Amino acid sequence: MEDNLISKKDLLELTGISYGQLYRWKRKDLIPEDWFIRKSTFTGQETFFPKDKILDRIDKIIHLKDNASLDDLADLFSPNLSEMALYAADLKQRNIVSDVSWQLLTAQFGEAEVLTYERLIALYVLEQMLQTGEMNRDEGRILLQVLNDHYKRFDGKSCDLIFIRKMGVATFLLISGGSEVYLEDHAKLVQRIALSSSIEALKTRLSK
Amino acid sequence: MYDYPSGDIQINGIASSNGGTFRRVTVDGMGTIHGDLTCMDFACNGTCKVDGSLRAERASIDGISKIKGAAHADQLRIDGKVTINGKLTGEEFQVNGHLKIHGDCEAERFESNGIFVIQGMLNAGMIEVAAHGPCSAQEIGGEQITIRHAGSQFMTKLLGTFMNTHVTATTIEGDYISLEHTTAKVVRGGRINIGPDCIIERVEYKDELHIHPSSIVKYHTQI
Repeated sequence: MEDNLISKKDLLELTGISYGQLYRWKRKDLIPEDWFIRKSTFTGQETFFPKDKILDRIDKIIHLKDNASLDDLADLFSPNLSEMALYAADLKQRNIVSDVSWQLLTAQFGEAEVLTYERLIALYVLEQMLQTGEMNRDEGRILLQVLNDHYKRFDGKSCDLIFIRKMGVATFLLISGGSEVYLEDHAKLVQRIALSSSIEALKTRLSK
Repeated sequence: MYDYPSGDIQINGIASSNGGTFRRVTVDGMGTIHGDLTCMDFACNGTCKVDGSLRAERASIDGISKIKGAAHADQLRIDGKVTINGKLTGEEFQVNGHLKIHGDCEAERFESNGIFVIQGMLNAGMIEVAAHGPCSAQEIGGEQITIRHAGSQFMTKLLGTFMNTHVTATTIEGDYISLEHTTAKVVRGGRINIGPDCIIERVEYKDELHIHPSSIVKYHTQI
């Protein structure tokens, strides 16, 4: 655990905000739930926050709240990737994707400086599948196309990606998460990936 | 906000349904919803079990409802008994019956005229509680918190001999706090008014503090 904690009382004193404001911001998801760390002290249970994170966040909220609504701010701070875009250079620097996957993506959709959420997921899944060695680059192109065309339709609901090969011919399917799938005997289910777990993995990679 | 399909669920008698998105869901009898339920209006007049989470713009529960997951309702009125395993979020809640939540409860306005047991935190902009029985929450936080006892002093005393009618919380924090018949470890806030029959270990206030002579406050300090 982090040692650098600040108690709620000290925080309010330091920043000059009231209990009501703090609780309202929590309700509006401007301050994540897991920053509220409960610890027992001699006065009973007290709430502590990771000091640097919370001070930075409150500073941002105070400065931005005159120009943006609390809901807009919540979107901004949301860990949800759908509100997120990433610079291509940043992505390479963090070693999230290899050059091979990057080239595949740019060959198909053109060079882009900023990657949207959907591209990011597609790229990450592509990278994962290529690294298992089960999928070749040509199939990777189909994968990108499938994700590009259809992933949006799931609209944030969980979905699984299924990779089937029959007599050397590859096919990708996107199905809603957890559904059962039955294949004919000659078809081989090469891989099944729950995209939600890929998103989670990607998030943790990005938050490091 | 949501685009609701035109379908309704109406249960009269004993029936079950899978979840999904609907316009109106009415249960007058015994209903079980297997899965998550999203709807514009949710009305339960009998017994209803939701084996998933519930999301409604308006919900009114007059019977007994159990919700296995989380619940969200912009407007919620409870006249019966509701148990929620997850957390409850929304805008305006009116509790006239019995509400039990295993998680947190978050709203803009929380009015209670009945009994609530919240194992997590009760967090609302405005909290108004008239306690009719033993109410409790792990933590109560908000802007304006008013807790008073319901009914006449005589009835409370009479009831008090049978059951504890106090509101119990570990911590109560807010900008304006007014308490009666409350047991708490710590009360913290701007302006605090401790009314009759409170047992509080520690009060920390910023601007103002009044303590009724019949209340016990072990320690108080201005911060």
